[in-house]
Amino acid sequence: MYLILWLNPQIYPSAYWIYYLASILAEFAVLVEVSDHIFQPFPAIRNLGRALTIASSIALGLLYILPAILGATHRRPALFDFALRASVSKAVILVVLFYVARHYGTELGRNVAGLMLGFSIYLAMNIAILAIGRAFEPAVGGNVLWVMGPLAAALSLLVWTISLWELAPMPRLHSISTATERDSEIVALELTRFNSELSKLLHK
Amino acid sequence: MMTLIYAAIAIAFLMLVLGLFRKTRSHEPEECLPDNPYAPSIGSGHWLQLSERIFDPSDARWLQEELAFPKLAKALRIERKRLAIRWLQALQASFDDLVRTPEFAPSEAPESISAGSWQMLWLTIRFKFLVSYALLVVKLFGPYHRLIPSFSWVPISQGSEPSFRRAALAGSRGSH
Repeated sequence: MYLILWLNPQIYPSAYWIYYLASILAEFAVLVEVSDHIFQPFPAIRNLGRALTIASSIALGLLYILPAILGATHRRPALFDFALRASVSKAVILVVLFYVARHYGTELGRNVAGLMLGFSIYLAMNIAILAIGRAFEPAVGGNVLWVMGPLAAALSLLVWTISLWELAPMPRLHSISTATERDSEIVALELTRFNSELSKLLHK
Repeated sequence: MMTLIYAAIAIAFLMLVLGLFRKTRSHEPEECLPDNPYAPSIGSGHWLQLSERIFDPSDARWLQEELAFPKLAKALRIERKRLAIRWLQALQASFDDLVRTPEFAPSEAPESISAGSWQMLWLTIRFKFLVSYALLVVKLFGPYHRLIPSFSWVPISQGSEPSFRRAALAGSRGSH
């Protein structure tokens, strides 16, 4: 983006908005990627991360982000509000994922933990930067964004580079006895059985 | 003011994530298991029979109506309520153990694994929702309350159920 601004400042606004939309999509893609790996060893809840991410995104999008866009009267506060609320939503989704992973005793591998930590640092810095940008005059806010935005991205990339330097599979069976492992078909049958027993009880 | 709130949110978020991150890293699976050691297998017939005894109101009614011991019947109800809550919690603990079971090795095609995973997730969410609902009803109204509310007072359901049955009967007669 710096290069575009230096070489051709006239196309910079269009390039910026393309970059901005792509970065929002990429950030949600990071969340989906993280959520896909958290519950990978457990067949019963393998898709729980993705389901939580999609459901939380839709709920927060409708109830938290959309009202900010619809209720805005000026373009600048609306854009800041949209970006700020999108970042807060991603932070909420990340906390939900962390909490559910902890609830199920999932051991995060070095790669996934690094992805989550780097992304958390990026989101926390983004929330603070956007809040400052929204509160101050365009000149001050713009300068803060201009310097701190890339710094947040660079810090996040540094954590990702360190954590993803070597492929480290999920430590799925370090502390769980291999005697408890089961085929996913058996787990599915057991789940059905649990549900039918509970349904029988409810229908009494 | 809003800037300060958002700055506080950013700091709180980072601290929360770091706290959860440290706890998750040092987390032993045994810690997440419930305190209740009584979590038998769903295949145990004795355990399922126990639920029938716990949720059966006949002996409490017998004590109250035929033997006229209302205090004893009340004490039995309270004890049964405690047992019903423990039984449901044990069922939940047993289910959580099953959910935490790691897979030995995926043997099927990725598409079928994915489809099966969504079905298993649905069963997991359905069970968690139903058991939470059952626990709530037992805690609020006791073990002898209907867990599924009756809609007999709704005129539509009164009329529609026999018509469904009639249609099913007519269909079965027609097929013979």
